[in-house]
Amino acid sequence: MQYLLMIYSAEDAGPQPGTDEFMQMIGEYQKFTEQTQNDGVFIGGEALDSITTATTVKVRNGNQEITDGPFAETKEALGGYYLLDCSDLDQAIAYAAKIPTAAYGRIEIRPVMNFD
Amino acid sequence: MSKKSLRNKLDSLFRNDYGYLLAALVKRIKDIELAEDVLQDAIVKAHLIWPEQGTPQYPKSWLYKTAYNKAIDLLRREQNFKHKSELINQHLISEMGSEKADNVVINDDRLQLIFTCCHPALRDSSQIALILNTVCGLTTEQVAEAFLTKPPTMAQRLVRAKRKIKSSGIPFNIPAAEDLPKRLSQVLTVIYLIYNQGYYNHQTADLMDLNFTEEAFYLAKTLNQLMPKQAELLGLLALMSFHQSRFKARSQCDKTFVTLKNQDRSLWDKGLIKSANDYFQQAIGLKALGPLQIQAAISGVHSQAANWDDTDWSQITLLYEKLLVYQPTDTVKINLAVAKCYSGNPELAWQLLLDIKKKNLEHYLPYYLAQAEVAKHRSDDNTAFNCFSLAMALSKNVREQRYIKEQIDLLM
Repeated sequence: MQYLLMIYSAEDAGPQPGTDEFMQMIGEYQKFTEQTQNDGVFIGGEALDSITTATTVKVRNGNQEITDGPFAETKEALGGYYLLDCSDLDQAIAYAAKIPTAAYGRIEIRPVMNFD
Repeated sequence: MSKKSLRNKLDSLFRNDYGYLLAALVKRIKDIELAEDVLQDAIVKAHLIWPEQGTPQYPKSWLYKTAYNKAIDLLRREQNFKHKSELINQHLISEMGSEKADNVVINDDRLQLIFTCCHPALRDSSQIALILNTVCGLTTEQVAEAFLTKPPTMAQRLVRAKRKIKSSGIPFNIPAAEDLPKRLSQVLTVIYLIYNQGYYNHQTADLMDLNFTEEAFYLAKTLNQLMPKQAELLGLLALMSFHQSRFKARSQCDKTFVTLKNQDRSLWDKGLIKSANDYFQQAIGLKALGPLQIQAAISGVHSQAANWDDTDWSQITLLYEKLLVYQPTDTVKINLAVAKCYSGNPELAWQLLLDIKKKNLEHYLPYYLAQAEVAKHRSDDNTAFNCFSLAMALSKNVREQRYIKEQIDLLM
């Protein structure tokens, strides 16, 4: 089964860019990605740029409306994701717990819908 | 055998084996809703066919095969519209031979089903409802009644939980060793909640809903059989057995309930006390102390006392202090305060009660009962009266209300 692991955190939480802790965290992320690849569960995964770069688009009555930033004011923002192929939810939970951001943010796990 | 007695026999067979059969079906078809539907179909079929053609030699096997074949049939029909499912091919290859026998071996997969129902990805209230509905085989209406909800609401909650299990891939297995202690502890919490639902029945005129205490024992005993030597599970069995041993003495009066203090201790069930002590000894022997064992120990101290005045309150106080380390909750603090009061320290007890943040306890009946009790020991009848009145306003059980009324009358 495929699971999307969405990585949420407040942008001012956790190690900040430019610090040693941040570099250490990048290393941990690399190690985690390698582990999922070696385990054969990795399908995809990326980090996202800051929430200030976000653009929201919606179409109402044929009119395209574009706004700067995310629509809802939320403290925690989506900062990245992994798409993994796991045997069951327990395996997905075990991987989610190893994502470095889990230590101060949170990981939302969603199964990819199966249309078979 | 008359048709009616056969029907009764059928009902009791279904009652006893429902969870067993359902778990075995879920294990193989990996879909709780489908397993329930086909098992229900098989039961209806049995009600129609058995009275006419006689009960088969192996009724459980008959039900299992009938349900299973129906599931395969349904899955195969669905296949016409969908990709060839690997699942079904595996089934067809591995099952065709064995299914012809009259007496098939049905594995006991209830443990897996119990863990699936208590998976942390499901909310607590769904876990209790699910376990009662699947493993215990209670109907949606019965579960709804226990939760004071309307059957359609409960039906929706159950369906949502069952679909989440299927679509989010909650596994049907026994958790990995590193997760087991936490997962088992959650299962035990759910079982104890079911027991308390029965023991402290606040909803009806009956003091205790025996069905729920029975279901809790059934679950705990099944678990103990399938997963022996778990200290906290044995602790839970000891705790429930101690409680249960006092059932008769507690419900002696048909208008109210009899408190521990006033119970006729000769009515305590000696057999249950003995089995409680046996469970407790087994638990302690495993040297893995936990909160359920401590609570069993507290209940055990009461069982040893010949009468109320004989109770070893200093021992009970020590045990509550120990319990507080595992469960730093307001409920434990309240009990600790009352124990201190009875062991001769009403002033200290009163201080402990005042130290608890009242904000969380505004609607918590036991808090006011505890305050009233301690106030009585401090000879502060006015406060006791006020606290009993507050408790009275919160009580929803007729017998409990009568008890509180009696206490108020005693103060007048």
